[in-house]
Amino acid sequence: MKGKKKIFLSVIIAVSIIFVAAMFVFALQNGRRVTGYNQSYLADNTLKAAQTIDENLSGGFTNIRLISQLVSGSLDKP
Amino acid sequence: MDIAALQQMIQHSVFDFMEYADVEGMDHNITGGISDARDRQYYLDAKAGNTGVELIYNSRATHETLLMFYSPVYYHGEFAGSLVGVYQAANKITSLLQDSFFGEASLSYLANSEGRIIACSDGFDPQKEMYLTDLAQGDAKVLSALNKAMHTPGGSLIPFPGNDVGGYLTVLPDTGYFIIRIFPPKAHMAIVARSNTLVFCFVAVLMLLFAGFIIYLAQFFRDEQAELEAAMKEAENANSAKTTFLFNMSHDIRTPMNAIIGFRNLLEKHQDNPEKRAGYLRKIDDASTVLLSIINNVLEMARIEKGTLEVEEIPWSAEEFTDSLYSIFSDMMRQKNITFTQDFQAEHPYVYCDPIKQREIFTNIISNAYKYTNPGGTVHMSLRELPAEKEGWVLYRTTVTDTGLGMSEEFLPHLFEEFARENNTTDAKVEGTGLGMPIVKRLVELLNGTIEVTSVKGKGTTFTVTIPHRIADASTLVRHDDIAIDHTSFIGKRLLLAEDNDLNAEIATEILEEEGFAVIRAEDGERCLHLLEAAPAGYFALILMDIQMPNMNGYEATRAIRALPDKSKASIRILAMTANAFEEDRKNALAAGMDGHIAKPIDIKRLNEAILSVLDKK
Repeated sequence: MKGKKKIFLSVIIAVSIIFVAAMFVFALQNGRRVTGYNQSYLADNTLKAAQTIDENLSGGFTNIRLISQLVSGSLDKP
Repeated sequence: MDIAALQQMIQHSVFDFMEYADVEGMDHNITGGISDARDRQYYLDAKAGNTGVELIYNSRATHETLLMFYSPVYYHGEFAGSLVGVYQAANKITSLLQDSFFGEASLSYLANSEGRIIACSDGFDPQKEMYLTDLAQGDAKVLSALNKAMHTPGGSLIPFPGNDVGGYLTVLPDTGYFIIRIFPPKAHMAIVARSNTLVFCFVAVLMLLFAGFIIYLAQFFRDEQAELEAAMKEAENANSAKTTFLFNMSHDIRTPMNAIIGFRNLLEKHQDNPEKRAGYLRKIDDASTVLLSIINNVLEMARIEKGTLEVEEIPWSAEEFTDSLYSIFSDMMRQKNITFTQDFQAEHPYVYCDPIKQREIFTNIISNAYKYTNPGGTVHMSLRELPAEKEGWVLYRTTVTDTGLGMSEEFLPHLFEEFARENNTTDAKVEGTGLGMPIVKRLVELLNGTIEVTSVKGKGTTFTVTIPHRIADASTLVRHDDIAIDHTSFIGKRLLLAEDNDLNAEIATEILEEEGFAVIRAEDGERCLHLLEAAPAGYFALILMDIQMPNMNGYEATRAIRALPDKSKASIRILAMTANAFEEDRKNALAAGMDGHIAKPIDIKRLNEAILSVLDKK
């Protein structure tokens, strides 16, 4: 009976260790997976922001060019 | 350029405000202020014919960071000045940089083409001169990644210590400016923690269910194991009980067998001495009775254990029953000088009862009282009626009290165990197998009754048996009177005896021929059938049929006879004569088509009564 108890206890401990190890490995893998998703999301988001800001800045260039041309055309003296 | 015209232009432009640097390099703003712009990029670059943007940190006018878009103005192809449109970076750019991930604000920076940070989502000190490379904070890996990203079309990820996701840097294609956005570490940790927790909880629940299942299985197998162990123990006990039983049986059977063999030998030696001869024959008879009693008890116990006993109730007179018991034992008691008395008190003397089992119970009890009471003692039997809870029922309480040897307190709890005897035959000088009381107890329980015993060693014993009975009407009683045997009616009658055992056939033939019958023997059922078929009708008056025979047993032979085409032969009287001596055997015999049943060993009186009753049947 004692022997059976020891075996049972050993099995419990082994299973627990395996479970904890499995959970640890899973957590690691999951962390990496989430990191990958977030990096991808970050990249898309940043590129979109860059595009918006670029459009805005480009708008500025276009605007100043236009206005300067207008002013050039409307000057009656230097 | 007049101010009014400038103001008009501002209103219709995207800029926060506008300025104009004239051909001499003097900057005119909307407030009318003039400043020297001759060293400014927006003047010099425009003078060179370029359109561009200049970042002004800590402007002299507003101490803000300004984005100054400039473009040259020409008069007849000649440079006439630089027109400047201004973004107040803190307002416009900052708001464009602000964003959040999963509820947490991200940190974003806008830098010019040289990498100098001009705006931040989190507010920015315009006094500070900060570059993208400063974000590395000395970390070589981060610095290297920043430098690489600044030269990678489309941008790339920047690792930051303590931030698993990091940041992303990309170049603005039109302006050549850079934007870097850093993922909030808290948001990332929260997402990871949440998804881990969900999975852990799910797996924990699965594990708990699995553990519960394993525990259930373990319990199930443990219970199975316990059941198997209990069954094995029971089997071991049964085996041990069987061994004990065989041992006891062997001893108890050998004792009367020794007497029979011994006295038979003595009889052979003293055939010429009539007195001794009579004595030996009497003792052989006694020993035979004991042996038969032992065998009957064993068979009875076997049937009780098997559970095949049935209660067969008939209307019955309790007073006649006690009277018959009294008359059976009164002679024996008188011869042993035991005073045997009885009394009967019942308001309802007629009840339904199983008389055979009832008789066996009280025969055993009174027989024990007789055996264990010394000469000069008393045995008293008393029957009282008590009210029962159920309507139409009564309780009969019968007590048998003796002044015999009594039993010790230690033995009393074992009284109803098989083979239990306080003293064995040698010590007590009283014959017995130890099976009588267990049989009595089981029979009482079968009749839904109770049995109690009180005893004092040396003083005597009282048995109290209480059995419930349904009240019967006197008119339903069936009386069985003794049949008067007229032996002359047997003379000349032919009897067909079907018996495979030569010894039994010889005994039966001797007895029957002494009664006047002519006996023809058949060795088995098949031979019996042939003899009947071959004989003329009416040749045989009766068939005495053994049951267990080779080739064709008694039941099969009876069924075959009853199916004969000759009706007179088919209706011949058949009496079962068999060692199977119980009620179910009688029923089986009748069910097979027999007319009666008699048990072996043959009792001459019973045999004659049975033959007469069968022959008298119409």
